[in-house]
Amino acid sequence: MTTWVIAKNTLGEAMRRKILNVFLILALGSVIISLTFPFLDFRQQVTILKSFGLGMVQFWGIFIAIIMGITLIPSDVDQRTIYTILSKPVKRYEYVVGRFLGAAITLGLNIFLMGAAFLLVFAVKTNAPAFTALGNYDFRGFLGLWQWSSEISGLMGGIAMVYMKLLLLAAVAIFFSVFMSMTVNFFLSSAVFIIGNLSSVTESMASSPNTAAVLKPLYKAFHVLVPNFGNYDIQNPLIHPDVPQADIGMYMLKAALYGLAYTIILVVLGVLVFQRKEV
Amino acid sequence: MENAIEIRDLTKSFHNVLTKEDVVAVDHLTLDVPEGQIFGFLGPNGAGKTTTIKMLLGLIFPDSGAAHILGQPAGDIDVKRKISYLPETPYFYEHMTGFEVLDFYGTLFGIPAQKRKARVSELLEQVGLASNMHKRLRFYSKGMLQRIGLAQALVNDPRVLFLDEPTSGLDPIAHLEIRDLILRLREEGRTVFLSSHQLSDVEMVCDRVSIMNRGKVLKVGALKDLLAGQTTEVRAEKVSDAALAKVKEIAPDAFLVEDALSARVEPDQVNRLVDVVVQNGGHIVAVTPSQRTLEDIFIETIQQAGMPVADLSLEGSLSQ
Ligand SMILES: Nc1ncnc2c1ncn2[C@@H]1O[C@H](COP(=O)(O)OP(=O)(O)OP(=O)(O)O)[C@@H](O)[C@H]1O
Ligand SMILES: [Mg+2]
Repeated sequence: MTTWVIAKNTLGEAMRRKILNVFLILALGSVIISLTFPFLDFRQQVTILKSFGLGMVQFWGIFIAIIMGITLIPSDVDQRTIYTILSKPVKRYEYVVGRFLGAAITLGLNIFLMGAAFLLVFAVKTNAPAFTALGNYDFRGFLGLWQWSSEISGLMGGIAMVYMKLLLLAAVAIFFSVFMSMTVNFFLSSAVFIIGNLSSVTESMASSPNTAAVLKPLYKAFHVLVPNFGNYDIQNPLIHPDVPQADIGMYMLKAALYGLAYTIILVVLGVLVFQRKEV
Repeated sequence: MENAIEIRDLTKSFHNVLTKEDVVAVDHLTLDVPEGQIFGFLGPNGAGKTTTIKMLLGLIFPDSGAAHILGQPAGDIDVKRKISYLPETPYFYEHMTGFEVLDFYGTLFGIPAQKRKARVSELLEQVGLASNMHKRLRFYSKGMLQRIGLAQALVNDPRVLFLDEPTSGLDPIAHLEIRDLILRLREEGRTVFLSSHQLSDVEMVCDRVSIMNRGKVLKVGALKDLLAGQTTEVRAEKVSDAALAKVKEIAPDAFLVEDALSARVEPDQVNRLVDVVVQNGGHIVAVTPSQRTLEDIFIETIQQAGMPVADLSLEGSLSQ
């Protein structure tokens, strides 16, 4: 209950914070810009729109996730608003979990809005030929419509994956934020994100016969410890659906569960550290 | 009478990373605060008052010792339902309005919406912010924020209030209003643990006071006992340490600053004291009847303990 009060307040705070709204507007703007992309041939256009749109949602989402993650708890401590909260019947874990849930909801809302704008733009740009065909009693128009709806559901999956990825990033930043200054945390979380995005690289380095034996455990450790943000890049199979990708649904489910488990572990660790933190 | 607050041997030191020194902010502090009273928690800057209060609220953790509030360990969630805290120079979420922020604190106590609305409006009225309640706190003045601070300390109808400098930043009228409010809290049977540098206020409202410096309580007692009696102050110069020893037999509180003596005695002891001083080569400078004020007692207590008033090394920074 108290956790929920803190979470709701976090969302309210985020909605009134100019900086996050600016990112949302920039994101919407950059998605809408793709409306003006010149009309290439249909396949090419679909491919470009998809990678551009998902890329934009992720790009602006990264800022929102990191900024919320590194500031939510430290700003309460630095500005001493924490005194009047923790001196009330609020357990420390309720505060941390509430802050995290608030970030998760805010991030979800932002990604939802960006994603919806992207899908709308995508529909307008790509659906037009299908509808035209339909209007002309062209049977292949139905095929176009069907193709389109499967594209959309695929993209929704892609957007959901971006959300899971950024939720994990927010959890990383929140975990570090209970014992690190904002600046250090900014660079650290960014570094973790970048390394984690190279998870396939660290994995192959660890198993490659060409890697020096002493370095192998290092790569292995990196691969296991650093969250594998790379897991969520299902953009490639989505952008090229004709490339056979077995069980994409199962893959996404696994990636989501992995992210959720990692996120929960990070929040629990954050709670444990915060439990003894002097504020 | 029951004790609302019991502090036993509470100790807290901070490690200064730069100087690699430990600062003992609170040093084996033991203190009882009776229920239903206004307790003045006094001490110069850096004495350790805020540190003590923060430990009592579970914001920071003692190195050793323990504290109980209303019979339960300080920092317990159950205790926090029955107490409240006004931090020194309080900060709140600036994006909220006065109404919203008090409503938010009300929800943290689980007060149901309907009751909360009534309570918040009543409190805003009480601290004189009714006409500004829909303004964001970003646009509040310092004094208005201080009033919000007081209002949030009343949201849960607390039995014990910890007020750290509640009147700082307030104009004279607000100052009087807050003083009246604190007196009213006592009438309602609440306990107020009041840290303040406004000694005239403390003198007017407090039942008991303690005076601490460098983490230690130097004096504690009922205010009327501390202020008791019309005394006569005797000042003299050229008083030796040997003479001071003799003077102390008559006036135990006497002290020397360089060779200048300051001593207080009951009026019927004045002649005896003057004789001792003169016989030992001292020069009487003044004999004045005085009603002791809390300020006298405060300064006297700190000076007698023979410690520098605070650890602020003002001289060091001035000479740089
Ligand atoms: N977080 C901290 N880290 C390091 N030192 C601290 C910390 N908090 C307090 N101190 C030190 O502890 C001592 C006591 O500080 P405290 O704030 O309790 O004093 P105070 O009695 O409230 O003073 P004031 O009247 O100025 O408010 C000071 O020497 C202060 O520098
Ligand atoms: Mg203080």
